[in-house]
Amino acid sequence: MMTTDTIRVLHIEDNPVEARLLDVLLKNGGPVQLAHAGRLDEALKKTQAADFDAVLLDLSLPDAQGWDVLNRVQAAAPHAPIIILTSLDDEHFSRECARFGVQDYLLKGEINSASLRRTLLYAIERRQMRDRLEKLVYERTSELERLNEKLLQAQKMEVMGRLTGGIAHDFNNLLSMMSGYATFLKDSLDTTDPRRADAEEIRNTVDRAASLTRQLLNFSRMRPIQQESLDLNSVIASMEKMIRRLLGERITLAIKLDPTPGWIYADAGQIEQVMLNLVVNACDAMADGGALTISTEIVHENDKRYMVLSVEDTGCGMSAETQTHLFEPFFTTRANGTGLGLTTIFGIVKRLEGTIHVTSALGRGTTFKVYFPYGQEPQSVNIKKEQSATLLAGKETILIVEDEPVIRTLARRTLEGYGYTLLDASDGMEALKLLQGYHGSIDLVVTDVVMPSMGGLDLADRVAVLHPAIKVLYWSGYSDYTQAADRQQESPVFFLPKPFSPLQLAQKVRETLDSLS
Amino acid sequence: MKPANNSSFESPIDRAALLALRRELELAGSFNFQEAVQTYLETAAQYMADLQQAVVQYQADRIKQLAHLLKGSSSYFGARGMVILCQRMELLAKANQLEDMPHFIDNLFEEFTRVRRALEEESIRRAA
Repeated sequence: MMTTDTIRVLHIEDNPVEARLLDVLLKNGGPVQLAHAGRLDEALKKTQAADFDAVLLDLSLPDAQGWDVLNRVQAAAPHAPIIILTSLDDEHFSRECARFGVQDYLLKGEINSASLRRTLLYAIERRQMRDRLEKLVYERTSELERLNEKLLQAQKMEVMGRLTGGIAHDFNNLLSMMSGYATFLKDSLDTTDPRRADAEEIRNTVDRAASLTRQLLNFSRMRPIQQESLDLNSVIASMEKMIRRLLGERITLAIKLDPTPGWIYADAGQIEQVMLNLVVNACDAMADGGALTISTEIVHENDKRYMVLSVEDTGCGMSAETQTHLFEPFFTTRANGTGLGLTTIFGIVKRLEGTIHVTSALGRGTTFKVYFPYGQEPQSVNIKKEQSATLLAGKETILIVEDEPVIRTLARRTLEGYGYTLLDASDGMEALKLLQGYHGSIDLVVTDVVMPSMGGLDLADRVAVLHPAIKVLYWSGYSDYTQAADRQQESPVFFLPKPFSPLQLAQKVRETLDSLS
Repeated sequence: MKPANNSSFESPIDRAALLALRRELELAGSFNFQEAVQTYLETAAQYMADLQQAVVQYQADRIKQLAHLLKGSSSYFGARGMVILCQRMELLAKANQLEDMPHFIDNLFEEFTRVRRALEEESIRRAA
């Protein structure tokens, strides 16, 4: 506040002589708009009728005294600083005043117009600063509380994910067994036996259950991540129906795909997640309808080839400020958003060594461009075909390491059926002991990743040192495969996600055994 | 020879405070000094009369209130002795200790007479 600004002062004083004298002092000091009250009830009415920049107060009034006066005036004019007028030069009194939120006090008889004006201005300035600080503290506290809530929500989701993932994992084991024994049953029946169709039906039902389990694992993000050569255009085309369903009727969709296949080395589930998060964001930005364009193109930049996915909307757009926080965890512009959507996308794209470019302006829509390193067309050997039993058969010796006895038996029966010699162990420690005491040659260790005592990864490390010629195939219902891949980058990693059918097991075993090491 | 009562030889008025008030009043021009002094003396006389009655009737709250009012306006005119006496009476009345009140009233009247004389002199001197 400038010294020349008019200060609105409420003077509460029952002594008419003092009131008149102070009036003179106030007006001599500078422009004031003065209201006067001789009683507390009158003063409280005046605070309701008008706003004041400051209150000058005598604590002894006909209808109230002391701290009672102070508290009630403070409550009635919470934003006006209070200056007490007193004849007491008492240190204790001034300390008490400060404790009760009084900005200052003035000694009657020592007041002059300049000091009065200065005291008022400082008191107003201090109060405004205090109000600003309080507002800031309040805003920061609210922000922290909001973030904390988001964190709790995210933690809850994580716990739910783990729970779901755990159940799905156990389910996978059960489904593997069902599928396996249904196959055994079918194979044991004569081709003309009508019960073969029943066994086949059991298999099909189990497959449907397995696909439900996969969705659960997808939700919990505990699905094994399987990177492979994918055509981005095909992934998008396969999602078109679902995307249209998400957009509703007021948003039009245009899909413009590059005619050349867009090979990227990625996990299909993760690419779907990237697509869906971007589409949902675009959808939210176009609450009043608009147009969504999804396109792909091959781009060359810095001698590198990229497959670029563009998701463009005609929605509300984002401010520069919002754009700087876009990928931060828990940052969201939505009331009930988790603030994790773009963070997740960022994580996925970064792992694939890709980048994300955002173009946006308020009212002008947003375009996300995701650059994926251009991959390679999959080799024909990798294309899975139904292979005949003779091609899958072998005479090698295989050690199965699995803590679940039924899976162990299932694998043993399956592989013995293809002519292999089988050994088994219930965990890593037992497997190591067996390897030490076994005198014949072992060609392959097939191991679960998560086991009590010693897990599959530790076992594989030991095998690599003690028996470098032995190949390793992992199976697991979890995404531990990525851990395996991280740890053993120098050698190829073979992985079979659960649940698997006897045929899938036989194919993967043959593929592993036939690989060059 | 040392005086028995220092205060009786000193001015009952803090002249610096009074001069400051006078300057403020002259600056404002809305309330002239003589008028202000006169208003003070009249209201103070009324407060004193009421105060004496309240003392006789043992009305502690009323004593406290009147002593406070008299103290407040006396402060503006630099009447230090009045302020100290009023302050004392206000505190005693607040504690409901009224035994010494007649004694304080006597002192207050005595002091007020000195203040009135000094203020009237000041007022005449300035007006002249």
